[in-house]
Amino acid sequence: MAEKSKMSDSELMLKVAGYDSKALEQLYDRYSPILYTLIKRIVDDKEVAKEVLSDVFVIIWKKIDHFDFKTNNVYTWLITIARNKAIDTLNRSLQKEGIEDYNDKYEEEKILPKLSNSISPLNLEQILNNGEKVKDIINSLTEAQRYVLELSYYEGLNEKAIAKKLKIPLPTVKSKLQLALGILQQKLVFD
Amino acid sequence: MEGKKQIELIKLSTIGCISEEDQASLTSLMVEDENFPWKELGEFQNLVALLPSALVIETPSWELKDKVAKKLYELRDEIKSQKEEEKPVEETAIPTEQMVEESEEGITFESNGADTIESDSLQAPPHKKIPDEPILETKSGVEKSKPREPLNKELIEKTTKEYISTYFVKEIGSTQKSIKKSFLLSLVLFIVVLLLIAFMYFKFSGDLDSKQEEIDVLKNRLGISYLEGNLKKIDSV
Repeated sequence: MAEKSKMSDSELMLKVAGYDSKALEQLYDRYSPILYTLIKRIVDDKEVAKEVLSDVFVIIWKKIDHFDFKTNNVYTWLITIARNKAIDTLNRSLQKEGIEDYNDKYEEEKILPKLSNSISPLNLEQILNNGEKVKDIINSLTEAQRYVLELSYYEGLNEKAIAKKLKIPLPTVKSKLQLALGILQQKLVFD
Repeated sequence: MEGKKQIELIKLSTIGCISEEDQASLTSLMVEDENFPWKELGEFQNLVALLPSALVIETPSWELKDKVAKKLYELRDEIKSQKEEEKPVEETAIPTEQMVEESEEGITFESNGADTIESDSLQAPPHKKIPDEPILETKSGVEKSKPREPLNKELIEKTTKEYISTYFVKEIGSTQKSIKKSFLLSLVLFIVVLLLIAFMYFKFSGDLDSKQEEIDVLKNRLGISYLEGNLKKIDSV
């Protein structure tokens, strides 16, 4: 059991690729708290969050061959799937216009992430240990920057929807988002 | 200037807040620009993924794990049969991707076709009809011109070896167990047979002794009666 817990994310993913259910269970144990927290923040409902989380693991199980074993960024891949799936669920529950039927093609195009082939892998443990730091940096943003960032990431609003909601010009939304991300990058990546 | 614009578009794209037009121009830059900042794209994708780490982490209830397991178990056979159905088509269509399949005995690795998802996502213009659509992070343009590299062979081999070794260890373990069992059984049988032989030996030897004694007694009696008879004969004579 101790040996199993030492297995890296990429090793687990390889085992999942071989449909090893034990490996998926370990992946679940490792990632379900952060994925569940993110999903719950987006859908704002415990039961829906549980449903979405189980759907996320079904997607991982079914679409594991879309994971890039060359870059091996398990964290960002899983987080992006969870975020996309939760936003999609939210949009469907709000019955937003123009939502396509959910099928395999849709899932591959809109739910599965397409990460850069130059992306570096991240370590979940380190990320969780640095959570407070990320929180502090987000809190250091101006209220407007933070709000725009949250509307975009957690509510899935596009720039036009944000501009409409906040009654500010479109370029302002763009500049606030770009500035916020620039600050985050400077403080997180270069620190 | 061009680089700055690319970075701005990357930022909007990774946070999932990009207009249809901007996404289209970013996609064309990815395809056309040889110096597209892929590294920066990866950095921003990672950066955005760090946002949830600032939330207070909650663990879902344990029942959910059972629910997920049940869902996956139901899907297991479906995926298996799906893979089997897809197999011949993929083999003829695209010949380089490594696919991992589970056979009844364990995992087998088969070669069959490159992943077309990234290419599709780059070739097709961005689909932005939905006002609030999820993040669409676009994969490298380099990957469009050449097929996606196969899965890390070393890791695959390592996992396969691990699997095979654990499989054989299990097999050897069970064989050793059955050998031990049969050895114990034969030992017990041997002891039982020995005890039986010993029992029979003592029983029959005891019987023989008593019979021998009886014979001796009878012989003695016979001898005495014979002598008595002879003595009587002598006396009469």
